[in-house]
Formats: sequence, structure tokens, C-alpha cells
Amino acid sequence: MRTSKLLLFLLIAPSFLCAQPSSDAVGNCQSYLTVQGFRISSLGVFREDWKEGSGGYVGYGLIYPSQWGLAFQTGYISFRKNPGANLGADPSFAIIPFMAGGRYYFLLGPVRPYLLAMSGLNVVSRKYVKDGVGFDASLVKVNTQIGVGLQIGLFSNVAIELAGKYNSHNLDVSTPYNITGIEYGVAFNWVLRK
Amino acid sequence: MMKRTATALLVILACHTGQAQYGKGRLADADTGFTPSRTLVDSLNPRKSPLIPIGEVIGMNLALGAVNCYVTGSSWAKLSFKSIGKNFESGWATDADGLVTNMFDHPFHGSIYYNLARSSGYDYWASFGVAAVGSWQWEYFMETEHPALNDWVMTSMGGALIGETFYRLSSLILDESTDGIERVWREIGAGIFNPGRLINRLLNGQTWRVTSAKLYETAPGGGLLAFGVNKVAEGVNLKHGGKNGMMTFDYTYGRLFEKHSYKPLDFFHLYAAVNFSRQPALGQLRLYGILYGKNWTVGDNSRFLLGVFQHYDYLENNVYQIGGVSVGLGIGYRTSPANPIRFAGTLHGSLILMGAANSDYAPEYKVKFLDSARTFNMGPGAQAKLDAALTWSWVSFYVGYTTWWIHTWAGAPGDELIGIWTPRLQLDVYGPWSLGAEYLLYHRMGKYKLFPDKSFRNNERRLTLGYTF
Repeated sequence: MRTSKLLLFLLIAPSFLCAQPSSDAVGNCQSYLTVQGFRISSLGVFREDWKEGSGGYVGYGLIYPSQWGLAFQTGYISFRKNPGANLGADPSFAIIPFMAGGRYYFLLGPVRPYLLAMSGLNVVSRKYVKDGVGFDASLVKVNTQIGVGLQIGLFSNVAIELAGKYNSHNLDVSTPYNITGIEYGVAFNWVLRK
Repeated sequence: MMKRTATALLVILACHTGQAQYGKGRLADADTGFTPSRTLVDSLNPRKSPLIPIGEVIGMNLALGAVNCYVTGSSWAKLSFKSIGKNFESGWATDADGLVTNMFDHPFHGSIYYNLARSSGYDYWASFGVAAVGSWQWEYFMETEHPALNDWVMTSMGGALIGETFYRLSSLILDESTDGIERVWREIGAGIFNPGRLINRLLNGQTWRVTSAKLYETAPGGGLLAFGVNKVAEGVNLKHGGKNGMMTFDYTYGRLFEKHSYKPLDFFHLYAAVNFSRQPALGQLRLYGILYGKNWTVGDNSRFLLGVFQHYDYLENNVYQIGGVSVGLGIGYRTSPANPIRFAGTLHGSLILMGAANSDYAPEYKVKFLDSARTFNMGPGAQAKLDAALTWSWVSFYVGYTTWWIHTWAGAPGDELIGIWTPRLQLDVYGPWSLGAEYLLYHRMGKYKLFPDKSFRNNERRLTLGYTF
């Protein structure tokens, strides 16, 4: 019961952001729910071990008349190992991200190109052996994402989004050995309030 | 830096002489600020395309990068497509710059990014976004060293807080109804605080525009400028330590208990301590401001406040160094202004997004790719802060306490627990002049995973002659 109340609160709370006493926002912002699928092509040293990833996000967003937007997302990302990497038996590397950020929409018509920047925390779960050292623990690390996208209205309440993003998710900043990659995906948005 | 700080402080002082009194009205006086008509602002200072401030920020970075590469010949500024690609491949890292660079210079740099957007017509949040984009572009494109996450956080978060402070202060100085030499000095004075705004005012022809329209929001402010001596002791033995000339500047903008709701930095409190010898020039720079809040009146016109606040702290003397940015909740209470003994205070709890504290063990941990080390540990954490003033007739007693917990993210693994007490007694002696006595007790406990724990205390005493404005 408590969990369902919490989920309800988390779902409803962001909509109060529409009621901020800002001249941009008074009762005029649009809100939407989004579901996204994507692939990630890894970069750098991380790619030597984990070649690519895929996953999905669910999210909630607000679009203000001033062309700025707020976005929140969570999901699950799983990486596949590079065939040439020796990471022991059944290696796994997965992330549960929690991200918040902003968007700027260049246009607010049926076709909406935008810039986005997001940041938050990843719960990283990894299990593998590299150079004789075992990694088997969950970590909480900072994530960042910056990119571009295009939202296209399909029906009155449904839009499709295409997005390309650069991911820089921390793992070990001292080396550095981080989760970097280019993410590209497709999302479907359900508009809650116009 | 000391000259720049002193000049800036004197300009504010000149603009505010004769206003609220510190310790008596700084948290409580009636709000006599001015908010311009939105329509008027939109007609005379229309909001620019976001590509303009973003373009300005990138242009500024390119210009600074060119100076670093071709004038100063810095090796880390010898850019190439390969160096940029390498940064994208590596992602975030940390750097090994000094505390001043990381915790003081970067936020000031960020304040210029912020104000290029703010003076283009954007609010706090959008301008904060532009500062974050500007810093990101610098880190990934303008240095051959890996991008530093600590720089990005300090430049964008600290830059937004300091930037909005400077925007508000420069709005107090600007007056477009004036002309001649007065106008020149006002534009220069505002530009000292706010070079980003000065650039846009020059580009948009606002520096020579004369109009009777009042376009810039202001709020009442006031504070205390004090000169005197301090004595910083290593340990708690009051006999140790040398005397040092110093100056403090304590300024409050806005009225914390008078508005029903607040926009970012409708209220802020700025405190600076400058040393003239023996100690680092900038002893303290502490700033906090409201982002959002509500007031309630109770009983005999006493008031409660609940708000979200942002904080920036930079403290340095020969014994300790601390810096950081944080954001969190604050509660406040003040008694009725009619009471003969008046109390006003706030209590804050906030999350430190990036903090730093000096540590004897930090140099043991080199930043691997730079083969260099810091003298301080860095990381996130939490902060609690008390800020209270009790005033009766010509006597004011102020007490402040701040405690920081910084969990090492880069440096010697462990936790830094630091606190500083700052009780002060102030006696009004003649008109706006007052005498002040202050005692600062700093305590620190370093708890480390791989080294013996450290614990020590250090005190500082101050005697000052102050001018209330």
C-alpha cells in the first residue's frame, strides 16, 4: 500500500511543476509520458570490454510555451561483452539509471527538433573477471547525457521521437575508465495535458 | 584579486549607504523592492534566441582557448580533433588543479557564462543550463586533459549562484535614466561584477541608451563593512599566531520574511573576509540564497519560513581550506519587529554536490593520467548551517555554525567532518559605526580507511570597527 502511494506521488508530483509561478508556465505547459527503446555503441577503453548495450527508458516530461522542457527518466541498460575480451564465465554489466534534465525545443509545431542534457545517478551492477581481478558489486555513480532529438506528432495524443545522445557515465574517474558511448533510440510519447 | 574584491565592495557600499542595518533589520525589514512591468521589459529588453548566449559562451571559450594556446603556450591547450575525440572516449575524470582554481576561479568563470544568458532575457534555470553547456563545451573541447567532472559541477552550480548574485548587484548599480560621467561609472561598476552582462549591454546598445523606464528588479539590501585585526592560532592556544590586518563585508539582499513566495535569489546573504598579510588574501567567501520559499505569519506578527536554498562556501587560512556548493532545505523564524528584543534566524540542511577540504593524505593519491596530486580531498556530502541574530537596542549578538561532511570521491578514501563556530558581538557606538568582537572555532575530524584518523582544532579572534550601511 505504501509503495503504491509512493508510486502515485512520484507520478503526480512532477505535474505540480506546471503550476510554478513563472510567467512561462502558468497552466500552459504540456506533459507527457514516454517509453523509449535504444542501443548504445560503446566508446574508448570501455568498448574494449563491453562493445555495445541496449535497453529501455520510461519517463515523464513537461514542455513549456517558452520552448524549454523538463524531463525525468529511468530504465534498464544491459551491455554485451566484446567478443575479443576475456572477462571470465557469464560476465554481466547492467545499469538502472535515474536521470533528470532539460530540453530546448527549436520549434513547437508537430515536428519538434530539440537539444537535451540530463544527469543523475546510475545503479551499476557488474559481474566479471578481468586480469585476474573479480568485479562483483553494485555501485552508485553519476551519469550525464547530452544529445539531440526530433519529436514528430502522429495523432492528437501520440508522438514519436528519434534521439541521438552522447553518454558519459562514471565508473572510475581516476583512471579514467567510464561508460562512454553513443546512444540512439526511438520513443513513443503519450501526451497527458496539452 | 584583492583589489578587484575591494573595488566591488566599495561600489555596493556606495549604492546602499543609508539602508537597512545589519543585525537589526537584515532578515526582517519591510520589502521595499521594485519589480518592473513584464510588458515594459519585453518591449525594451526582448529575450534573445537561445543560440545567442550559447554562441557567446562558445565564442568566449574559443577566445580564451586561443589565448591559452598561442599567448601563454599552455600544453593542455594544444587542441586537435584527436584530443577532442580522446575526451569523448574517456568521459569524466578529475583534475589536479589547486583549491583556488577548482573551488573559486571556476565558479567565477561560470558566473560569466550564466550572465551571458541572464542578460539575454532568460531566468535563473535557463541561464544555469547555459552555464552548464558552456562548462561542458570547455571541458570536452578546450583542454587536452580529460574532462573534469568537479570543474563542471563547480562552474555550472557555483556559477549560477554567484552569477545571479552578481546580476542582482549589478541591477542595483545600473540606472538608464542617467547620462554623462555618472552613467559611465555606473556601467563600469556594474561591469566589474558582471562582465557577461556588460558584453551584452555593449552589443545591444543598452550602455548608451537613456530612458526613464525602470527595467531592472531591485530589492532592499544592507550590511556591515568592518576593518580590524585578527589572530589565527594553530591549535586552541590563544597565545599562538600572529596579528593580521583584515576586512570583512557582510551583505544581505532582499527580505527573507516579507515575501509570500520567492524566485531564485530574491534573498541572498554574502559574506567575505579579506586578509591584508600573513594569511591568504581571500579568507572567506560565503554565499547562500533562496531558490524557492513560502512564509507564514503566526501570533503577534512573528513569521516562519520554509524554503529551498543554494549555498557556496570558500574558506581558506594557513590551517584549513574548504570549498563547495550545496543545495537543500532551510527553515527560518523571526519575532515581531515590534519586540524590543528581536530574534531572526535560519537553519539549513543541504546536500553538497561537490566539496573539497585539505588533507595531509591527499597528496598520496595522484591523478594517474596527470602524474600530479591535489592537497585536498574532493567529493559529495552534506552540510548543516545555523545563522541567527539577537538584537536589543545597541547590542547585537550573532551566532553562526556550519558543519560539512565530505565523503572522499577523489583523494584519500574516507570522510572529512568539519565545523566552524562564528559567534560575534556587535556594539553600536556612534551613528552607523560599531565595534565588533568575533571568535571563530574551527574543528575537523578526518576518518580514513587506510590512514590514521586526524582530529584538530584551530581558532581565530577578530576585533573590528564597522560601518553599517
